[in-house]
Amino acid sequence: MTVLDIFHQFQDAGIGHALRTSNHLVGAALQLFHITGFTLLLASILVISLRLLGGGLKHQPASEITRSAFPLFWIGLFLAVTSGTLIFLSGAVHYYGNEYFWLKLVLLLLAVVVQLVLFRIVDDRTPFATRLAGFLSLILWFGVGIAGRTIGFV
Amino acid sequence: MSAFHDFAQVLYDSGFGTALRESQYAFPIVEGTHLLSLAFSVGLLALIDLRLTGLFLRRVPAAEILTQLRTWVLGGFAVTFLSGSLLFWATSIKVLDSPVLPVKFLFILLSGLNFLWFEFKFGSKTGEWKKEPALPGGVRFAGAASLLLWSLVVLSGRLIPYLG
Repeated sequence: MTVLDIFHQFQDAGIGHALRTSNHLVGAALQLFHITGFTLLLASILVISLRLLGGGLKHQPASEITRSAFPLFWIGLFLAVTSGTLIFLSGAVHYYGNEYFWLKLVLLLLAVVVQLVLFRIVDDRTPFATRLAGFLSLILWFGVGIAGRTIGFV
Repeated sequence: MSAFHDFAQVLYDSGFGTALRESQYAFPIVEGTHLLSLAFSVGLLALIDLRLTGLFLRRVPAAEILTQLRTWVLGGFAVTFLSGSLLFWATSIKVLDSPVLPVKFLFILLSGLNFLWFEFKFGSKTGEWKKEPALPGGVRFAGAASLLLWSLVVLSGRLIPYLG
């Protein structure tokens, strides 16, 4: 069984099939959750990266900003990934043939790894690692957004 | 309303509007910019609003958040408005068919009025909010109103292609 076969099953059975055959406003509602989630996610990343790269909130410790923004980041990620998975299931075969869909997945994976691994070492005593984490996180998450928007245009 | 419709028709038929609408790369780039600049404009403002209401970053002084993020938020809104105006220029007649567009414009107007009211009433006092985690009631209300109204702007905007 190939990946494409599995993707066919995604959209022809279960949740994918239910979504596929539902009113188009269900898809619209999923898009609303998606845009809310990723705007919240990107704004949290912006606040963290601005602080780590020296673009704002300079009088607060980096660890304090990171800790305060992480709950919003996780809420945004949860909303974006949940709604995104459902959008994907409703049209899996269409996304299979879209190279920007795969690019988005790779960037998303890298961004989550940076968030989970590199941010463990963010500390006011490790300026280089801190700046690197801020830079990579910013580039990767906005890369996810750009790739995601491009999916709809190719 | 018909004068506005005529104006939209002129925009739609103009050389620039047509070229932007039909271009292979420029239109997607403008639309992508409109979408992702939301993170700077509405997104960062939402974090400020959450601080004003006292729900987020309570240990960071409100004065600090307001002054340090101000340039980024205003820059973000400049890009969001500019790219949005270009999108309207290119698609005016099509989006006017959608009943959600006037709703979006109404929420933008209300958000703007809320912003002006906040600036007029509290703009000169923001520097004083250094210590207290909880801000005056009017400030918390303006923050909550801003969060709600701008969210409705984004959500109604996203519905334009679905309703109409």
